[in-house]
Amino acid sequence: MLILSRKLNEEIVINHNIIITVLEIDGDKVRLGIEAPKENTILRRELLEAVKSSNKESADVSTELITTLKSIFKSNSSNK
Amino acid sequence: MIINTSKFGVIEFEDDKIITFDCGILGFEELKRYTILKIEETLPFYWLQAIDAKAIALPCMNPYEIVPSYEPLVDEVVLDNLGTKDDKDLIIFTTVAVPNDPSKATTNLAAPIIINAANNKGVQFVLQNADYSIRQSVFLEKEDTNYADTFKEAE
Repeated sequence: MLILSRKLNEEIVINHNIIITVLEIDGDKVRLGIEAPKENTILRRELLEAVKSSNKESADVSTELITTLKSIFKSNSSNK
Repeated sequence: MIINTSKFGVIEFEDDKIITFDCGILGFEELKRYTILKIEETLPFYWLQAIDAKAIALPCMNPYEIVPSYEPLVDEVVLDNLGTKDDKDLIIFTTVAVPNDPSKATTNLAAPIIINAANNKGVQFVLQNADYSIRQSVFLEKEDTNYADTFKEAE
C-alpha cells in the first residue's frame, strides 16, 4: 500500500484526472473532496460491504424457509 | 434454456429472458447471467436466479408495493451502461433478505436492481444518497401480521 502524508488543503492526484483534497481535519474525522470523471463509482467502503453482505444474506434463504414462505402466502390468500 | 436450480428444480425459459449483469452483483461479481423467476406460490417475491450457479437465487420484489414514493436517483452513467436514456424502459427490483422469522423480512432500498427490459441488461446500483434503508421492513409491523394485507394496503 502506498502511504502519503497530506496537510489541510493538500491534494493527491490519481491517473491525472482524479483529485482528492483534504478539506477539513477535526480530531479523528477527515473531510475529503473528490473530483473524478463521472464514470468512476465512489462509495463509502462500509456501504459497499453492507450491500455485499445483504446480497449474501438474501441468497442464503434455505429451501425449508421457502416452503414456510409458500405456506404463509398460501394461507393468507386463502383466508380472503 | 434449461437450468437445474437448487431451490426450484428444473426451470425452462426462453433465451430472451437472460439478463446480463456486466459487473455482476456485489458479493457475486463472477456471476454475470441471471433470469427473473416468477414462482406463483412465493409472490409477491420474485427470484433473481443465477444461470451459472444453480444454488444462487436472491428473492426480490417490486419496491413500489411497500414504498409507492420510492424514487432512486440513477446516475446518467448507469443509464448509459444499460444502453438507455429513458427510465421508462427500466424495471426496478429490490433484493429481499428473509430471516428464520419471515415476518421480519427486509428489502434493500439502498441498492436497487435495475434492468433495461429493452436489451436485458442489468445492474445493481448503490445509491449515493442515504435516503433509503438497506433493511426496510417488507411487512407491516403489527401483531398477527397478515402478509396479503400488507401488499393490499400498499397499493
